[in-house]
Amino acid sequence: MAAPLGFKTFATGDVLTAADTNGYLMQGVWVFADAAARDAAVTSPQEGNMCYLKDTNAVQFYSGSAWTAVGAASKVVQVVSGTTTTAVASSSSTFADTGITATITPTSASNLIMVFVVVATVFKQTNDTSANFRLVRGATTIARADTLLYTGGATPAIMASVPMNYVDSPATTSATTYKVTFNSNSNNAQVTVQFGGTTTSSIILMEVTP
Amino acid sequence: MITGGDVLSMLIPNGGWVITGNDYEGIQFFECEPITKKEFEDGFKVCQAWKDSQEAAKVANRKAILDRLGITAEEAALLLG
Repeated sequence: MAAPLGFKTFATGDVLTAADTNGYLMQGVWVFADAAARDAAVTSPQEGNMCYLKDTNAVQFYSGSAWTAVGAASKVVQVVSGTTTTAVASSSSTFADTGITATITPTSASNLIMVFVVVATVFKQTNDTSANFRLVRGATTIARADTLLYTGGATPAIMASVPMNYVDSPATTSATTYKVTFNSNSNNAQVTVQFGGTTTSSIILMEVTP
Repeated sequence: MITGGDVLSMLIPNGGWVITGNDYEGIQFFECEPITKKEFEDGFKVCQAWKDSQEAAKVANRKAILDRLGITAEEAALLLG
């Protein structure tokens, strides 16, 4: 099929050529019973071609590489979540698990994973440290939040909740685990997450189409 | 309430540990010498007194500094404010 040539106003006396017919007059919305009928009829689609498929009532355009639904938006494929209320205290600069974790198995390698995390009730108990957080996929750090709750020594104790949001492209259909780790910047001072052991930290993994 | 973290702060003041929950089994010793389960559990019995003494020492130090400067706690707060 010819590529669309755009719009043209024909004048009286113009000669209508085959190229005009294919490039202008044939560039409406082609109607087919289904995608198979379209692909059989249009073996070499060109960027900008459009069609209507009767079986799904879908209007599609050819992007140059694929037929794509007009006005297609990302769709949520699945949602997985995890929560914890167990307190974890650290006075170590070695990153340790907060207990906030969830595992998702993407249905397509091209889909995105939207990650929403809230680390609840982070408590810095002494004035000479701060907290660092890592959002980890498998063993790979994909996002970090550093030097949180740092007070310059003026305030001995401070509490806060920490959000971490990230859109990830894991490019896999294997089971993939996301988790949050943390440390205390100074080895000799204590930071606690889920302080008190009653507040809820959470992670939500949402698989969406691109 | 005394937590496992409080006990570890008392017994290993230089840090280097992580504790999940309040049980000995939840402790990871990273940059420090491990302690025994008995030392940890015995620590709960004396930790409140240790915390009280820490707080008392802090209050005494604060008062000593204010006395040396010849100002009240309210005046110090104004200065820092």
